[in-house]
Amino acid sequence: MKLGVLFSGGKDSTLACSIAMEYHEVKCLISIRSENPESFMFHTPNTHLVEKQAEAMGLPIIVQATKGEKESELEDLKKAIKSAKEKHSIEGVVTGAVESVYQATRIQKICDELSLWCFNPLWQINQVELLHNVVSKGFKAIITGVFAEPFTEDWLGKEINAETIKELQKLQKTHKINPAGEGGEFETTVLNGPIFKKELKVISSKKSYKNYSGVLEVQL
Amino acid sequence: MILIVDCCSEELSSREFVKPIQAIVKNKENKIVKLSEVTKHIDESEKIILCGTALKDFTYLDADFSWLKDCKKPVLGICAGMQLIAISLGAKLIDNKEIGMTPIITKDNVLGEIKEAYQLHGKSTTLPKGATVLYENSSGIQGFKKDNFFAIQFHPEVRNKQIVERFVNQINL
Repeated sequence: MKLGVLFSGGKDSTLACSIAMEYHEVKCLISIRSENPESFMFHTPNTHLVEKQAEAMGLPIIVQATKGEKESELEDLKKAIKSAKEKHSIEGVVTGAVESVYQATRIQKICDELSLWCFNPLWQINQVELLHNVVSKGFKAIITGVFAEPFTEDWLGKEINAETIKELQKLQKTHKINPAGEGGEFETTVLNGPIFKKELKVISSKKSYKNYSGVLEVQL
Repeated sequence: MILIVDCCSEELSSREFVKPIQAIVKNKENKIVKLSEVTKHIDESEKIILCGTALKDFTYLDADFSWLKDCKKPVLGICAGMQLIAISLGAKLIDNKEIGMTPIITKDNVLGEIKEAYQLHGKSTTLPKGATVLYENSSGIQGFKKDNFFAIQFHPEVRNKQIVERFVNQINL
């Protein structure tokens, strides 16, 4: 089956893409660039990197801009998926959805309207297991956004590895954070992994951080 | 042993509809088998769970599930699994698409009382003769029970895991 992967550039969609590749042919990535940092649907930091990530993975990418208003962003998502169906003849869509019934419901409805299969290979996965999968499969994912207490500025730029997972598990106990950031506590950017044909190197980066909320803007 | 039956035609879907059920019953010995292989494992099983599948997948309806009629083990059917149980008990499938969270009315709390549930199906069923309604909503029957069969139209692995836990740990015939 020919598939398109909804791709934010973060660990979940990249891991979902690699799992989908074990079973089917991934024809393209589909990305939404939201102007709204509070988007209900889409991961927002560093979405300017998705073209470079797609190039490193050797996959074409469809990037659709959206103002990020609650329902119009769904129309924009549908437009992007429809475009992938027309250009790349995809028969199904893959997402990195884990827990969000809000996201999953809307994507399932769009796929149904467009007569496409919808696959969510990380659905309901234990979040610590998800993080270990990212590491064991050899993905290099760095934290590029933090949006919750008690994340301090020095979390920006940290790589997801065994040590970071232990720290996140500690914060799960002390601050009830979702260890994989499923509640929007943090976001990641993937720079390398088994589905990358070349590693992406960070040329420069800029941190902006205040009151447990910050972004590491990366240039590759 | 809890026999977890994979009704998905696509292996990629099994991660979405079967693995979450296995995660809920992880403290019990369990085994995942494809719908086409169930008969080889019924004798060694204590209980059977028939899992759901993707919205576009209806291949489970073409499988041989005639073994269900004679099965005396407790069986929980989820979504596609409910449809297989319903057909085995003489009920009919009806077109009824629901996607997302919907309110639920609990009519019988043998599997627990809930107020809302995650739906992902294109068909539902009529009530088999002699069955008791467990759950319903504005679109119709959302769950029923008859003898050793427990059937749930929605996906309890999302937001209602206790239903699966209750079936595994508390249902004794």
